[in-house]
Amino acid sequence: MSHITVAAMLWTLLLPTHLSVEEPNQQNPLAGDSKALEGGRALYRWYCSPCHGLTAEGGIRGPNLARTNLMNSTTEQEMFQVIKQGIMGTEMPPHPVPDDQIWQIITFLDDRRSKKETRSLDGDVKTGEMIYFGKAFCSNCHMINGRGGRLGPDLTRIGAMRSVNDLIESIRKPSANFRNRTIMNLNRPWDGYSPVTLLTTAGRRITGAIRNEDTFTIQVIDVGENHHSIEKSQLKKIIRPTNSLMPPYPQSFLSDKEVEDLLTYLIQESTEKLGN
Amino acid sequence: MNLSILLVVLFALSSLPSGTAQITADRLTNALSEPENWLLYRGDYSGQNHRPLKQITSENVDGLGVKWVFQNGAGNAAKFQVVPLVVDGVMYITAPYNTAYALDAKTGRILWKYQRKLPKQSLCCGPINRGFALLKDKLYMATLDAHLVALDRKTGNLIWDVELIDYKLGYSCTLAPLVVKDKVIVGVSGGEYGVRGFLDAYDAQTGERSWRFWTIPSPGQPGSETWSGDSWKTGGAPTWMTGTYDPDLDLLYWCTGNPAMAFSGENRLGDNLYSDSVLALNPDNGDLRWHFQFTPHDLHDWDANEVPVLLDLELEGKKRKLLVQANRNGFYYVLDRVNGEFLLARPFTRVSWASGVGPDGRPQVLPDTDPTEEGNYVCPGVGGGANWMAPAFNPSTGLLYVVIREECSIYYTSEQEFHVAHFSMGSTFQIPDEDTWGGVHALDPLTGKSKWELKFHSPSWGGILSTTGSLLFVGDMEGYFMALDAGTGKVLWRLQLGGPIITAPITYLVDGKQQVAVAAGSSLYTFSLD
Repeated sequence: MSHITVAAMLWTLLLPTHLSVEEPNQQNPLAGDSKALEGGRALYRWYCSPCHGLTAEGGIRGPNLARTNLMNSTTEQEMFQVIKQGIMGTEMPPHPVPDDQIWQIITFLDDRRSKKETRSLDGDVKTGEMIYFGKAFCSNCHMINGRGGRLGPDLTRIGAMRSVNDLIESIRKPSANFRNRTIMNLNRPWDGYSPVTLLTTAGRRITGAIRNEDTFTIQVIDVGENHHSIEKSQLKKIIRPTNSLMPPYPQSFLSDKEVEDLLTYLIQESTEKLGN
Repeated sequence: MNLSILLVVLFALSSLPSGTAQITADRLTNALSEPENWLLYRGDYSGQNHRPLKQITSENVDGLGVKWVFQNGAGNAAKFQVVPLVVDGVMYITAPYNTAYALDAKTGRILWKYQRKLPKQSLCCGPINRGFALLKDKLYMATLDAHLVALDRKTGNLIWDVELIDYKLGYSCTLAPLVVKDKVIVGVSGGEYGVRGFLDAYDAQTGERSWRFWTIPSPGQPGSETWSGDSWKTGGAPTWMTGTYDPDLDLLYWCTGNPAMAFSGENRLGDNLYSDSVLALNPDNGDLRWHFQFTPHDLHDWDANEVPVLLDLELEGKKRKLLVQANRNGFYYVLDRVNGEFLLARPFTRVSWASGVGPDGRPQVLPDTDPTEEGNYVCPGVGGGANWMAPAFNPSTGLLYVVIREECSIYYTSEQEFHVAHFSMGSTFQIPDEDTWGGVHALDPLTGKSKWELKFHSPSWGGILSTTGSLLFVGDMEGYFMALDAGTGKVLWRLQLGGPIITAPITYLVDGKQQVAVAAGSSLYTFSLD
């Protein structure tokens, strides 16, 4: 072997580890470790909570992490990389901390995710579909797989994004965890669905959901799904209700069994169409 | 025969016009006498961000239109925070990841590009850069890996590159340096990474370090008694924003950031000098003439790296040399900049942590306002009542225009182990579920009382420019760049630029015509009347 070849081999050995070949798909080595869970809880709080919220369900800049289908990590190995290296082109920064700290955080997030799923469902998909498009008139406001209305969020993936308990609360008490501000959606205010009623100086009244808002203008989709763009200087008043536009569905209207059928349908739809 | 050709060529070259005259230290000192150029990050040494240009006025500004746009294209998170320099029709800008460009100010076309090779290891504090300093034939940029580079102004070629300190200790630089006389002054970031802050001065010609001022004294030095135990070693107090300078007093004014860790103070008992302070330094040797600390033993991350604006005003019948600052802690301060004497403090946003500031300049802290394990709601929030973005002073209106943030925080504390160069704030903060907003407040600089207020939809990060055309130029986070009447705050013109404005605008002349420029998102816009 020539000197150059030997030197090249030695040089390769000296390269920093992050330039080495990819690791095989690694699982969390601290899974199930209760000390790792406590450590991860504290680490999460320090590093992650300012953006992702104290309970990991979303904060001012970071999305909900306590859900199953994260966009950038489908495996624990991918989640490790996302935390360690950040996501290029976004505000998710890298975290140059020891590897075991990252696995502790992942242990905590796995626990958060599992805590959100405490029930399994045994409803009937077909019945759930009929309720969605019929009795409960969800489709008046919500699209699912391209069918339905536009005033509320698209529910195609909601079954994978929210826990069963969250979904039940959204149906029974839609205003329970209601935050009428776009601060949760700083980067995507059009996902906020904040209700609003505008009173113009010309005497018009427009009720709907805010798509976007700034110092000078506001853009609204009204209850008839019409788009409005209005200069704030032409408004007499902006009323921001603290209740969701969605009405509550008490047990007297939708029984527990019917809600179970409905949710089974939602989860089925989201699982089938996970590639969306 | 060859020799005579050579002589002819040499003769021809020597009789060419020498190009632009040198940008000397004198020209920097008198920057406002050539308002067609923008020679320093803050326009001039005073930090007033006011420019004597009035082709564009409150009467004709509604005719302002886009002249050209430059796009950086570096990706979603890497937005511009640059304030350009303009010299004789050439604009010099820095961009995220320590890229830099010279652009033709008439057309926006690239004249040269410089790209620094950065280490692969992730660096603290975000990839942005706030701009160049310049002197003679060189431009100076501070880098993300804590270096200072000098580039040839005409070509972008690297002239020299010096390391301030090992970036792996948690240091980074995002600020625009400041040239004072024959030195380049540069500060560091890293207050959340356990650094010990400092301010450096380098010979502008050679890059040799002239002096270093550590913002945290070592044991035995005056002020070291304000740090318990070994906390001084990782005490923070970074110097991450460009200061101001008084050429008559020959004093450099530079501010410092939070003590580390931000929300836990048990391991750093004491006032923690010189964190959250303004320092008056001799620019020749870095000697400290005086200091004033805004927030002793800070527990809310209230860096004092806001602009120390230098004003000469009459106070109680006497002409005074003042230094004013709308501080992050929610109070507006007036100091004497000769000796640091505290003159006045008044809240300019919601303040819930102190009832006022005493005659000694110390805040009168209210009980139960520290971070707690369960979370404590305090105003102002982590982002402060004001932050690093530039205020402006207009001598005709006599008003100081401050860009404010109304956003309180819930502050949490808990035990945290410290790791070198790892992000640590000693727990965390949350934004409460309530209205937040931003805006411009026009303050009487002598009293801090607000004369008018313009509200923005969200707390903003854009600085403000004042002109003798009776105008203010400022941008908000939703991408509106606007011109305001300096007297009343009325919005006279606005344009949606499509990206948040996280920097201050400038104005200058190109071929005798006034232009305005501002960076928004990943683009740089210039505007003119035709």
